[in-house]
Formats: sequence, C-alpha cells, structure tokens
Amino acid sequence: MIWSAAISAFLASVVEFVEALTIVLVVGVTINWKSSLWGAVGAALTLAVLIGIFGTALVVFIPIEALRLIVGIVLVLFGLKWLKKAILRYSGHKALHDEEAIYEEEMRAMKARGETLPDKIDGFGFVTSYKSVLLEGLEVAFIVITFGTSSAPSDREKSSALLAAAVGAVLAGIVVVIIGALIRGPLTRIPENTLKFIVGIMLTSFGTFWGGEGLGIDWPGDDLFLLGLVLIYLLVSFALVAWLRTIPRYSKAGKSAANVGLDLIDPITPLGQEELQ
Amino acid sequence: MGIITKFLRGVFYFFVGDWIILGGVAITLLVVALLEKVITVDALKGVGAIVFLVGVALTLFVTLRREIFPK
Repeated sequence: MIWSAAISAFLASVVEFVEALTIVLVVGVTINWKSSLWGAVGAALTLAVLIGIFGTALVVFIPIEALRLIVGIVLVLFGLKWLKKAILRYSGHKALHDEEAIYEEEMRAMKARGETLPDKIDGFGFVTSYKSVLLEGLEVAFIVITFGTSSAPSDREKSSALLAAAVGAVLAGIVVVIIGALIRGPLTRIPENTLKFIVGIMLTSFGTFWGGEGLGIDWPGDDLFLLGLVLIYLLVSFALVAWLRTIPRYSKAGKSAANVGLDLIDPITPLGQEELQ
Repeated sequence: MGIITKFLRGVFYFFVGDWIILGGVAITLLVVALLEKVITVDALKGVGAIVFLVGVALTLFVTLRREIFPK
C-alpha cells in the first residue's frame, strides 16, 4: 500500500464528498429523498460509465473547467430563485395563492397525522442532486488519478498507487455518507422555510464558487472560501429582509398583508413547485 | 413553432422563471469573463471575484425591488 497516495486522496476527497453531501441533504430534506437519492445514484452511474470508457484518460477528455462553469451557472440561477422567494416570505411580502394555501394546509395536516407525503421524483430536486454529485464525483476521480499517478515512485508501481488513492477516496466517501446519515435526523427538525432559505444560500454560494472557478477566478483559501461566500450571502439576505420590512406590505392579489395577518404568510410554509416557477 | 416555444418556455421556467435573474447573472458572467481575460496584473486578480459577488447580490436586489414595486 502506498500510504502517501491513500492519505492525500482521502483528505482531498473528503472535502469534495462533503460538498456533494450538502446538496444531496438539503434537496432530500426540502424536496424529497426520492429525487435527491435518485439524482445521486444517476450521477454515480454516469460517473461509472465515464470512468469505464475513459479510465485514467478522463483527465484529458472531460473539460472540468467548462463543467464547473455550467454547473455553477445553473446553481446560481436555482439559488437566486429560491432565495428571492424565501426573502419575500421572511419579510412578509409573499401572499399565498388560495390553491397553494389549501395544498400546503393539506400537507401540514398529513404530516401532523403522521401520513406519508407524496413522494414523486421532482425534476428540480433530481437535477440539482445529479449535477452536484456528478461534478464532485468527477473531481474525486481527478484527485484519484492525479494523486495516484504522481505519488507512484516508478512506472511499475503506478497501478498500486492508483489503487491506494482509490481506496483513500472510497473510505472518504464512506465516512462522509455515515456522517450524512447521522445528521439527517436533526436536519428534518429545522422549519421548512428556514431550510429553503438555507438551500437558496447554499446553491447560490456553491454556484458562485464553481462558476467563478470555471471563469478562472482563484478564490482565496480555495474550498474554504465557500464558508466565506455563505457568510456574505447570509449578510446580503438579512440586509434585504431588513430593507423589505421597512416597506409597507402589499400582495399581488391586492390584499394588504397587514389585513391578512403575518401568520398566513409565515416563513415556515413550504414553497410549492408552481410558486418557484 | 408552438411546440418549440412551449419547450423553451418550459426550460426557462425550470431553470430560472425570472428574466431579471437570468439577465443579471448573464451580464455578471460576461463582465467577469472579460475581466479575467483583460486583467493580467496579479494585484488586480481579485477584482473578478468581487464583481461576481456584487453582480449576484445586485441581481437579487433588483429582482426583489421589481417584485415589490411592479410597473
């Protein structure tokens, strides 16, 4: 076993797996687990096919910068869409359409009765999970290939170094999945709209990070700068909520939110897919 | 023609559903891409990152403003 390859691949892969897990978890908790997990499985299968076809030549044939840019743009678009809705709700400016109010009330009642919610595959959830896992999975594959080939003392030991790097990456994946399973429970106890606000922040932050990397931006501190982006977008969002709260509330339906009551537009209510459109 | 329009509308609503967000992100990306090509001085390398962040934040502000004060 070439330990240097295994350990370095393990440490670098943990970061990538955590990034993928974050998206899979938030999609699972806010939309549904079926969409999130099938998206992740689809990405893993795509990755397996790509590795099967290209092998170590993957590094040459897959333009990772272009992929980062595309995934980044889509995530920023998704993230801003969610963030806009969540900020409007937090500031009390989003009145629900009657049909949505009825639907959401039904969902809440079903949850209260302990009944199972409709668990169909949601396109948005599937795509978000799929592309995030695919991008991070490709980055892990690149880590294994580059660390494996560069840490081999000689050409003859290249395959064993690659194997050691792959073992390191697989172990990292197992550790991260176990952590994900452990924190899944506590996550489901967070109010739904708070989670959707967090999803908006996460998607916008990841999108900015990857999109920026795709355009050639070198973020200070590399992946650690993701935390800085989260903080920046949180501050911007809080400032926008504070600004919107100073504006008299008005809904498009023509009702003043002051008459409707803030409890009807409380931030805990979930956003319907139609509303997101 | 109808099918193509319907398809494009479907794609637009799936990914964004908001022209301001789409336009704001597109302009931001174009400006950042241009800056990354033009700026060669190391000291100014962070400008692209700042413009990216400001562009995204500004897009969010403009789309919220439009939502609150529709024309």
